[in-house]
Amino acid sequence: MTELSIGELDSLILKAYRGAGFSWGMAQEAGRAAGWMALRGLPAADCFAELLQHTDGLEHSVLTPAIDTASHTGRSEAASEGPVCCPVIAGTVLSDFGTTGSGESSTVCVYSPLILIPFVSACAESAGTALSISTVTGESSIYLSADGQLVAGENDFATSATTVLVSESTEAGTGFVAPTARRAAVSEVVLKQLETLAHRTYVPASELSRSGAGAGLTDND
Amino acid sequence: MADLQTKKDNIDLRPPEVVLRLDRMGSMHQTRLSFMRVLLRRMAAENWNIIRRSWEINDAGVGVAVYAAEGPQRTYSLVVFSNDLDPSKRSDRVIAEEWDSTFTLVDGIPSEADINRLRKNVPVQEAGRITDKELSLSRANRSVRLFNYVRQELAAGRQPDAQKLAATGYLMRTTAVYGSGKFGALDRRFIADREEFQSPFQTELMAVFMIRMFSVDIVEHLARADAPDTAVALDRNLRRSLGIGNSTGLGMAPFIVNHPVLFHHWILAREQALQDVRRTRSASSDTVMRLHNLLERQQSGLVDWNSEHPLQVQKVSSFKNDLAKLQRQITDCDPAKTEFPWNGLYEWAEENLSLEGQEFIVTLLIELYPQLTDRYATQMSADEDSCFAINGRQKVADLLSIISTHYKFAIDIDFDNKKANARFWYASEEKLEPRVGERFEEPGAEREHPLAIARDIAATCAALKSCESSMTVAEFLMQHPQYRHTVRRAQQVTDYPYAEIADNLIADDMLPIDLLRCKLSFFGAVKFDPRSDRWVRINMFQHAPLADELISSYDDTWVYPPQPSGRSESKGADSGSEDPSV
Repeated sequence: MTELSIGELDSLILKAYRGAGFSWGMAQEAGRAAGWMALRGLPAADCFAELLQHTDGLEHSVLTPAIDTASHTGRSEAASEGPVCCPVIAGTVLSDFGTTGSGESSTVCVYSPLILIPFVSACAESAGTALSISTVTGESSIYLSADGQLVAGENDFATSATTVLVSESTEAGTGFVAPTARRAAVSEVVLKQLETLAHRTYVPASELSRSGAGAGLTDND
Repeated sequence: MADLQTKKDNIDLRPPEVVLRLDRMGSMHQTRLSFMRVLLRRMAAENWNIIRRSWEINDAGVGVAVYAAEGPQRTYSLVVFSNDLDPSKRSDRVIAEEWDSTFTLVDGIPSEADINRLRKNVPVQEAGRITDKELSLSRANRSVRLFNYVRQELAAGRQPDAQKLAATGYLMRTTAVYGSGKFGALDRRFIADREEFQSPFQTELMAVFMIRMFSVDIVEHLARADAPDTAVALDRNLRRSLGIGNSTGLGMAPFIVNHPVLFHHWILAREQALQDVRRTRSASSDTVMRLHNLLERQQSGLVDWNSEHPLQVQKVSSFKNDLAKLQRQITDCDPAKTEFPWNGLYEWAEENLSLEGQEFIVTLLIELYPQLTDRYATQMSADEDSCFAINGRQKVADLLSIISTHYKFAIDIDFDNKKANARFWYASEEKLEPRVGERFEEPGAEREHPLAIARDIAATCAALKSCESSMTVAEFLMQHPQYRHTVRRAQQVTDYPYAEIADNLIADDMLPIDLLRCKLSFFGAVKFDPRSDRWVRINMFQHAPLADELISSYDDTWVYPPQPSGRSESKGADSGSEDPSV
């Protein structure tokens, strides 16, 4: 295991997500979400490694939940019929449209559903409404308080594609307060997988690029 | 009175499109608000005790030393690994793999086990790992121009020549100082609430201040090892005349673009401080005396501002003229006898001085009124998380209006012109070094980093114009996720107008050293000496009090070289005790 700082994890996920073909602005969302998760002891690196295995090279549009643009709501189509979405894309859709927490519920099928939590937290905080993320069968739920804090969780969400319901919550949760972690432990396998994707954002070294970067005169004086 | 009141109210903050042009950014100087000066001011006020705790270094200069900075609440330790480096391996480039000395700043006092752990990791820098007990990681190389000369002189029982020392200004030069979260270090967020870290980069600069102590200790140690019978210690005044060098490439340029809200706070603090002084109605003759004094000291230090870079040679030359003109101006037109003298002087500078001179007036004016300006030093950090979210309910028309207000510099550029689109910023796979490439000559442009703000904003603007104005940003971004980073910036800039550099960062004539200089001026660096268009050498803490002088005789104007007759002011002398009438 390697212990990454929160900043290192953010940067690694940003680059890996970008390396998988998504935009820089979306990659910033991914990196920040990973940092948010790690600070609360959630397995961010594992979740993103799993996600990117499925979505590497796919278009943003095919991983986007369908939206009823006529009424401008963030409601997704019935997930069983829709595509499996990226939780970063689904999360930004929820927070951008800002309708969750204003009486709307959303059902969406995503890979690595834990990645939705930071986005739903932002929705809860923005709307000032407690929200929950539940599996459609109802056996697992995570609660976010009206100020966006992770107040309870049964973190037995599958990392694979799962259909979840994001809705207003009347339950306070079980009273469990998420721990504040300072580091993100990442297994060597996951680290390698993410670094391989991140590596795609680097430009191979060349004599030309090397010569342009230095001092020109001697750099040793 | 009514007229005066009107005039005062008309002195606005300088607008971003004036302040944040690259040529002006590349002419900025340190100020009282610079992070180095904030650090020493705090340490002096709080009686920090900075000492060498242990020294286990052999006659070849190899071993471990520990320095400690003991504050009122906490102690921080600099652990030094000193090396006997083969000169052929000495390079300041980030791609180097061995250095004369390597350092880490430990939160607290390291145990023996910590030091053994660090011994395996710190000397290899980026190839090693540090932990959440550590706050920074850095390395320094000896100055080829000066280190061995000083060593030989001290060994022979002589003091080195003061002018020769001043010409280089340091014995060692750091080549990277990594902080928050880097290579496993603790993230800043976990120490951001500590009183001593309210200003940015305090951990990094605390490390550099102790590296300065080490640089003299090691040269004295080696001189003694060379000639135990004759060696002498370095004279205290000479010791003070040495800072720590730093050479830096493009690595720090992306930082100010990637942290727009933080950057806004740095610029805003400086601009508000300037505005407050310009709004001062009258100046006492004592204040004007201090201005003369600081100006003379700056002039006397100019002989040591050396550079071989043609542009900088020209800039230093005009700066010399500027300072002479300034001296005449404040002699002919005594600010103590003028109303709103500092606004008048600033406006005179805009008309009569080069950008170097204009920006130095900013430095001087802020210097004169600590009681007005120092408070802004605590406003130079930012909670970047709180302004990250996109407002998806905003209408396309409103976003377009923001862009047309704040990004005039961008939307007027023709990016079909190759000159406007000539460069691209990227990370090299070599140690992830940030670099700038020529888009139409080098491979890799498809891996460009999002620093081409002007071009991307212009593209965002064009895409927005093709949408219905009543469309929401949420809908726009669903269709155009490639503009998410620019939409975020554009939404931030309404609240944080100094967040964006008002220039094209991929133009063929863009000089990366302008970005470096701006950032380094906020650190408090002096003697900017570009070694190319992409690489700058500087000095940090030159003329600063020594560790044992912080408490006894702290002179807060240390950054201005002492006049040849000696140090001119002592503790409290610059405190500007008069009440300015504002």
